[in-house]
Amino acid sequence: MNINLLPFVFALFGLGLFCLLTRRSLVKLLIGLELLGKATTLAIIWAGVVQKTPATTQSIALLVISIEAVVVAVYLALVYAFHRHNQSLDTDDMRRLKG
Amino acid sequence: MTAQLAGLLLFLIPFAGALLIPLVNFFAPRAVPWLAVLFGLASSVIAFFLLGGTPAGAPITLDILPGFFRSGLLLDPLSLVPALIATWIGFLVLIYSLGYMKGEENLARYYALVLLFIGGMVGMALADNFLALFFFWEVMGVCSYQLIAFFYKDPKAAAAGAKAFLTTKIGDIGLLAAIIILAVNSGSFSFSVNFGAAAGLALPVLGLAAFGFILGAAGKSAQFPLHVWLPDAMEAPTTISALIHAATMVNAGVYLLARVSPLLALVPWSLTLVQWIGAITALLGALLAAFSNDLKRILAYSTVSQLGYMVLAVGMGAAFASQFHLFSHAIFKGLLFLCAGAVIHAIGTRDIRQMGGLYKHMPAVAITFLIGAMALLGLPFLNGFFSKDFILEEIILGGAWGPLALALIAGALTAFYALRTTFVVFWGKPNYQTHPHKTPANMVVPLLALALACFLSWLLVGPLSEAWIASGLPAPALSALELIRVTFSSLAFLFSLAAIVVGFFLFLQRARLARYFHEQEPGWIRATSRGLGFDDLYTWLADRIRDFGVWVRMFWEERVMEGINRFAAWGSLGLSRLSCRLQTGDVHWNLLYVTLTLIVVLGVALW
Repeated sequence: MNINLLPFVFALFGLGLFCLLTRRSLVKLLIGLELLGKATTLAIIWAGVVQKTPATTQSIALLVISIEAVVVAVYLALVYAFHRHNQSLDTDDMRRLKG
Repeated sequence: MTAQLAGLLLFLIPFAGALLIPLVNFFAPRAVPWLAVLFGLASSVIAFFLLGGTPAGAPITLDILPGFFRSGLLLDPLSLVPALIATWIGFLVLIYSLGYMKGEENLARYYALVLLFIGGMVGMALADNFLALFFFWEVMGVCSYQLIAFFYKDPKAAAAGAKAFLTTKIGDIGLLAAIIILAVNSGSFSFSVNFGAAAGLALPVLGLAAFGFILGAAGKSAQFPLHVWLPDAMEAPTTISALIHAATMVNAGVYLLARVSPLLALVPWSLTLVQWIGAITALLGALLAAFSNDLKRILAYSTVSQLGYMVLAVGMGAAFASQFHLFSHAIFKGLLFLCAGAVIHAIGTRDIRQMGGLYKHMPAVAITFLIGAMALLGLPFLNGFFSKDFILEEIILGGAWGPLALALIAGALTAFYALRTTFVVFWGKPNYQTHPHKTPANMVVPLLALALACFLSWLLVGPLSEAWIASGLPAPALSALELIRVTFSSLAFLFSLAAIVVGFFLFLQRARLARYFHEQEPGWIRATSRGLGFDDLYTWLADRIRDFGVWVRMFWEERVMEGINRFAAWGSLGLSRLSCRLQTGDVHWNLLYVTLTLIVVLGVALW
């Protein structure tokens, strides 16, 4: 494996960040979040390849994936509750924390 | 017993009594008055040892603060006169109090304070340094304040106590300043060291110290312009008026002036100032006494006036004459106050217009009061005659004609008010409503003792002047016979006789005078009923000072402190407004902050 995955990781992370900062739909935010997560998982795996400890990093990656599944579940539940409450998925409708 | 030990016991015994009385009061309150009399008796017996043994050898000195301050006893005639007066008159007043204060509340407080006062006065007189003198001076001040306000439930008495305390405090500040000036100069508080070192001081500084002493003496001895507290102090029980405000404490200022007279002699203007203060006070006191209708106020103003004479004598450089008059005055004024107490005790009012004809009910009191009044106006062969003529003589010798004129007018007025008061109270038409109480025997005995002393005390001039000369103080060598010869052959005798005659004439014409004043009512007459406006002036001044204090407080609290508060509030509000801008509530902004923070943290960690 001679390809360097790091630029790809950064591109994925940047894409996720861009998605998070610019999209207004809560579902799109979830997608951005997932992109961030995937970039992170990829970075961990790539770190294992570089450090020659693939077994450890792969097990950590598995753990991260499973935690992400939980995060997604909770996030979706929150979005569902928000939608039920406001009939909307737009982040412009959630400005109640404005100072 | 050596004189030194006697001197030490003389003020330690009353102090011990003052400590013990509150304890005794817990389990035997009825024994308290008798215990106090016992302590008074003990110290007045010990006082005789001081008379006999002229102080010789090393005096007692104690290291109060080792290496810094030592205090000792000074037993010369100048200090013994006030100490012995305080002890003996204090003892008589304690006996008199048995009858006068019977049935009052808080007797333990009363007797403890009286004993504390006697100890303070003796300690003040016998101190050989300024610091101890100042300490006991303040002890007296506190006792005076407490005893004036003894009937503290009466707001007038409480106010009078506070007034006396504050007014004398003005003088005390002067005294303290003078003591500090001298102590800084010489590094010692002792009298002798300071008098020696004072010549090395610059004249303005020395003048400041002299002025401080004069101010202190004026406060304590109720001299013009600080005399206003003494008439109000008559709210005290009459026993206290007799002891503190006639016989003892008010003499402390005269004693102080006599004590620092070597120092005053170094400052040219200070003696002139003392003369004029004394003369003005003598006249002012006599004038106010002549127009007063309150028996105790008359006596208080009379005391102010007589103290003026003593201060005048000190101003003439005649400390001996002033102490001689002090001695006479303590006796006859103590007598007059105790008589007044008997009258007030009997009738229950202090207004002489509601008295009259009391001779029938209390002849002993009437006769002794008459003797006291005659001694006050200076009838020949009574003690007041010799001592007052002595002072007038010294004034003539010194050639101070201005003060002499004032003193003579005061003398005429003294004769007038002494006669008027005696006549209106004890002879004249009865005006009282109640049936007078009988005077108890334990109140009459001190009166008789003091009346006798009015006739005899001037005979002591011989031993007194001998003792003065023996201890190196300036005094003329006089025996009693010599005193008679000198007095009757002097110009002062004619002057004082003329003053008495004028006073007697005024007394005879009092009905016409009263009609004139009633019909014409000149402005200054109305002013005398308000103490010639001094109280109003001081009230105005005090109000201005208070207003200034209020303004300072307002400025500090409302402007400075409140300003700091406002600035803090305004600043934090502004900051929070600014930081509110950051909180858009928009998720994306929050995410941006999170990202930026992470970048910063990462940057720091990598760097």
